[in-house]
Amino acid sequence: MARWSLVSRLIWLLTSLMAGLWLLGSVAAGVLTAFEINERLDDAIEEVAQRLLPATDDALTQPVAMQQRAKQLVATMNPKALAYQIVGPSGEIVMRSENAPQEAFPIPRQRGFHSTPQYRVYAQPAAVDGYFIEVAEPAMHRSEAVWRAIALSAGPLLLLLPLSWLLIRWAVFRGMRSLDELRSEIGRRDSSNLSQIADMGLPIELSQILAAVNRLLKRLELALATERQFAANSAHELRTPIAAVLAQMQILSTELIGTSHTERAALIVSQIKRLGSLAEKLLQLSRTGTRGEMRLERIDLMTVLQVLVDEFRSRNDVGDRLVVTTACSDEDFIVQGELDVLGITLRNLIENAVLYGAQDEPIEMIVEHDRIRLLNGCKIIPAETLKTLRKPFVRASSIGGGGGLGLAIVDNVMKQIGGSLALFSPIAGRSNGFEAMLIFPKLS
Amino acid sequence: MRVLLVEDEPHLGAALQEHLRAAGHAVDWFELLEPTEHAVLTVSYDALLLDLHLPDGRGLEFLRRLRRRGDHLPVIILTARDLVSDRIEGLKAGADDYVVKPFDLDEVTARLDAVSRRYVGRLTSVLRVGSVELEHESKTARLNGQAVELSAREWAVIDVLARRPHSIVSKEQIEDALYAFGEEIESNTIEVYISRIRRKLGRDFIRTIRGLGYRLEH
Repeated sequence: MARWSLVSRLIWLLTSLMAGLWLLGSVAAGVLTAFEINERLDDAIEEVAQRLLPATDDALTQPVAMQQRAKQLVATMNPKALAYQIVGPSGEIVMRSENAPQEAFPIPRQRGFHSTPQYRVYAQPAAVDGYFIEVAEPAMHRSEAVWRAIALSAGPLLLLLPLSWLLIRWAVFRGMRSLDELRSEIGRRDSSNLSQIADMGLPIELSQILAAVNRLLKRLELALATERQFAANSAHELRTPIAAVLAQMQILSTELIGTSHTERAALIVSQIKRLGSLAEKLLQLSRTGTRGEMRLERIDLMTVLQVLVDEFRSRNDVGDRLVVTTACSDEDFIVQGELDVLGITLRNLIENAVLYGAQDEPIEMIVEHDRIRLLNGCKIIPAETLKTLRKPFVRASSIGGGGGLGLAIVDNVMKQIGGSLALFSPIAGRSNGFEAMLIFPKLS
Repeated sequence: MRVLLVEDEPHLGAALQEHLRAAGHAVDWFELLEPTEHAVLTVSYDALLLDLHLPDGRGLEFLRRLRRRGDHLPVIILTARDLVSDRIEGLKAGADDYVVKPFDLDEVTARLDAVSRRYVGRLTSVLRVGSVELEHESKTARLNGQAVELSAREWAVIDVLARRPHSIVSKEQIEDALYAFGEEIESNTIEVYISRIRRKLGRDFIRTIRGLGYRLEH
């Protein structure tokens, strides 16, 4: 179903209402005009009939002279002008105007108005008994007068209708300008911009909406910040006791060296480490999980990489094994995303290579203009397994002790920022190994 | 090394203290920032292990105050916050390293040694003193190429002297580096350790400067 526009609907509604009202007004005006004109014309006919009353006697005593005079009087008259007849008791015409029919009007001989298809007739008894004066107006003349009057009163209104449509259109567009500005400002707000909308001098109705939107934005920002804070605090609350258990168990494990419990103690230590890693990954997954929550900021990925590479290189199990090559000419590698989420993504990518890569082979990180490639040595991973590695809790190898969440997190984040994760095994041009490639979208 | 540990989780703090002591370090452990402030002003520490979330304040604020007054004490942050922004904030505040919980105790001591080495200006982890070779990373000493077994305390004494290879280190300075607050020290403890080290690495390895202290003999 096609969406409708508020502006079009307002213009259409206002124009229709106005046209309807004008039509109603015109009909009322027409009816009133017709009524008034008919009344005035009837009065005129009646008046003519009364003026003819004194002529009745003359018409009866000297009919030829009077008829001759009547003929002279009306010779110059418009044929549409009033016609009259003086009719005798037996229906004979004693005298008539030149434009009156030769036969008596087909009306009853009674005082008052009568209508025939051709005439509107007023009959009045003459001064002599049995005689009637009948004054008639041609129906065509009357209808012409009525229609002309209606046209004169309603016509200009109809002519003004297109002009009023233009004026309504202009007024609606002008009135909606503030709404448009507000709509455009609200449209600019998204996950990366939850800033308050400034006061734009909006009308009262819209300023109330603006205030409500600003309150909502504030609440949303607070809710997102609280959620992030909660994730960070959860990490703290969960990791600290795990750290305490691990540390205590390591001390105990050292004390048990040389006893029959050595192996079991080492196993517990390794399981606590695994638990810690799994808790960390689950927190990361929840942190990076939802699409709309990520702030899209311009981040220099080189800064993130520098921090992470320093961190991994300081680890005993990585050190100089992590080799970084920059193949892009630009010093900055700007992408859109959230610093910490991108940090989690890259950390997981490197950690995956550390956990599952051959311990005696380097981990190569190649930074190109729109992508980061991470290469590690390992046996060839079958294509079917490679396809499933993005799913949570799927691992290519049981060796390594990872939770199977790292690449799922990476894949999830890359999708959120409009990028992609590509996995290859063997590495192109080599007989074995694994390559994970992050392809970042072009900056808008 | 004399290490100042600030950690409010008692089980973690206890385990760290025990582990660091076993590695030959003297550890003063506080659970709050207030006594920590006093301690850094009164004792010369070689390193600080600092938790960020403490009951009486934020570790980062304490670290910033420390750096503002020009204190170059090596600082390693111990925290449960692993985000890149947290790490950047910590390093900007003046931390030398950042260890995320849960951690391996050996990882902490390794980082402690690495940071400490950076501070004393020894980029290489091997120091040669006459016919003795000191390898800091593995905490081993070799005399004429042969590995010599040293106790944690003996290594700690050598470490204190090796930090200032051309300077005289007083007996009190060595005691300070080896023993934490409240630990019992016999009056001749340091002499006993020096004597043991000389027996293992040769009489000329450590020279006694009468009335002043000791120095590694190059």
